[in-house]
Amino acid sequence: MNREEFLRQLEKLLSDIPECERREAIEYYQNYFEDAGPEMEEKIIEELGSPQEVAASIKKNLFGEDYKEYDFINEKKMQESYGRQEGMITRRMMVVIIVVLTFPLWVGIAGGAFGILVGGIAAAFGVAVAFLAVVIALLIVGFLLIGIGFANIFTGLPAVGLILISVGMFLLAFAVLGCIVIGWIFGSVIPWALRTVVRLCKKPFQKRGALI
Amino acid sequence: MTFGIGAALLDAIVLAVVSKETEGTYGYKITQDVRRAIDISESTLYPVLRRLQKNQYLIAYDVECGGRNRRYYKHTKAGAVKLEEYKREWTDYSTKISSLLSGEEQS
Repeated sequence: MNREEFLRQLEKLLSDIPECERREAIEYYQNYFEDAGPEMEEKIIEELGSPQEVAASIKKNLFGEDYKEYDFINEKKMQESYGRQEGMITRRMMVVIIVVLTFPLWVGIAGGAFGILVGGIAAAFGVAVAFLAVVIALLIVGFLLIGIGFANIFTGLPAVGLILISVGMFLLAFAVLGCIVIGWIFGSVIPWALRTVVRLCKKPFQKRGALI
Repeated sequence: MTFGIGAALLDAIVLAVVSKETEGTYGYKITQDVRRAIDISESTLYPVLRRLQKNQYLIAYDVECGGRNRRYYKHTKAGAVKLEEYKREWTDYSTKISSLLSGEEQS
């Protein structure tokens, strides 16, 4: 190890003390080497021991005898966080390997799920169309009954006419309810299902993007 | 060396070495002077100098020397007072230890 390397390591080891203290210490040892002269460089490095020892003597003076514990805690934390990071990376790699190995399986599952979803959407669509047909039929029959009812009030039996009108109204009310259901299916259920499908399709790509 | 040197004694030694130089002195020279008398590691002295500086027994200042700055240390008034105190204490302490070791009765 030469002087530059020694000072660089010392500076790194002192990165957890106040900056003014660090600068002061580095300047002192820089001065020290310069005053001793280049021919003494090797001997001084040998006598100073390791940068770790020098850093320890400085920290001991700053933090008191507890510095060892302080340093130990710091080091432990760093190791822990490093270990966690490493664990995360290996976990991610495991996930990738499992996904690749189980490719046939999850393609089947995904295909099945996709089929169910598409089928569900189609079914909802079918139900909506059926409702529409019923609503149209209800409207036609309703208006027809109301028309016949009115005709009966004037030309036939007024009582029968009124009953026919009321049945016609009743059917129209069902038609309006059917419209609300159709509106709900087209306005909420189908868009939600489509959004879900799109999100599910996007998801694997997003995840892979995050991995890389 | 058989006998260890505590922090207070180191402070006293370094303060004495620096006070000897009326024009001030620098880290490398202080180390050499101290090591002439006692065998201590080179890394021991920086913390001592820093401690004395913080207690305001020493002041540090830069002097340009051969195109670069060299950090000089000089004792302060408080440092001189402290040194006198150290000297008194040491004389007292060392006399007692000497008399104990030599087996003489204390008068």
